[in-house]
Amino acid sequence: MTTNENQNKKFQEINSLDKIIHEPARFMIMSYLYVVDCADFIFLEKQTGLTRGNMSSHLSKLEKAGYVKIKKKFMDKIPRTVLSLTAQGRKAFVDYRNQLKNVLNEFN
Amino acid sequence: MNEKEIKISQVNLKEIRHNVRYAINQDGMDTLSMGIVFVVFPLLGILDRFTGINDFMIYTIFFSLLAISRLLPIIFRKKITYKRVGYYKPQTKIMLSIVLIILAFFLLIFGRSQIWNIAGREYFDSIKPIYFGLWFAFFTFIYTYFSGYKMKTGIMFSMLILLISCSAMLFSIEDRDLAYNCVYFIIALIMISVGIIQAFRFLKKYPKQAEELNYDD
Repeated sequence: MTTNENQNKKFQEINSLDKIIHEPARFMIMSYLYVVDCADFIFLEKQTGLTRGNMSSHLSKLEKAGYVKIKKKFMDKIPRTVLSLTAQGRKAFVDYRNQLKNVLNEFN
Repeated sequence: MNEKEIKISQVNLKEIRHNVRYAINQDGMDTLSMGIVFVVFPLLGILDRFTGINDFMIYTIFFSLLAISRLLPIIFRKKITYKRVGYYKPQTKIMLSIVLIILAFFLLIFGRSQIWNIAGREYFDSIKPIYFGLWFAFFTFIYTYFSGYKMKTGIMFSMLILLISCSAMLFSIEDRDLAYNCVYFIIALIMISVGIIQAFRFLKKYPKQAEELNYDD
């Protein structure tokens, strides 16, 4: 394989990275949801340090992609938005991490 | 935190897992609960020595304190903690800590009976502080590690407990059992105090309750 072909392969791998997770704020949200079974909106907001508007828009995108499940519940008469990763979301996150590791290793 | 400040290279899952555990455990309820469990045994020993309570009373006190140690964190978290820092449900992986604690209990009982059988009860009594100190230290380390504290803190806390416990061996008084019980009682009281301090610090850090959520996508 020539050097050019090698370079092209590396760039193709970067290009194949999941664009939805690749956004840093969404990656952060996915990371926090990955280590828990489910969490509410306040918890994620406090942990990630993102604003409510930001979180809301990113969560909508993740929900549309089928990565995050959003449920509205009442806990002691207080509305809570409970978020969790779907099986698809978990798989996508693991795949993304592996891909990213590979890409970084290639460049190193 | 600004969105621009988040760097993917800085996201460490191990650290995130610790942060998540620490967010809830910083309310001190686990330490308090552990202190209450630890206080049960020396308390019953001391009560038995001085008042000669019957078995029914022993079981009543034992199960009441255990129930308090379980219920207190649940109620406190439901009413205070979750409203301030939010709620999360841990993954089943956290069950590992429970399995390790059950294993520690098993080793404690099995180890004691083995020492009794092989070396005799008198020998066991002479090494009692080291034996229980090791168990206390192990339990504390598991707790601190799985509560999101740094491993260094867990080791330091465990060593301190081991040191206090073993210092009971220095007592050259006749009633050694009473001395040991007093030392364990002091350790348990220290844990309860730490739990209460943590709870106050938590309330000071998060004075306001999180606003009701009005999330619409």
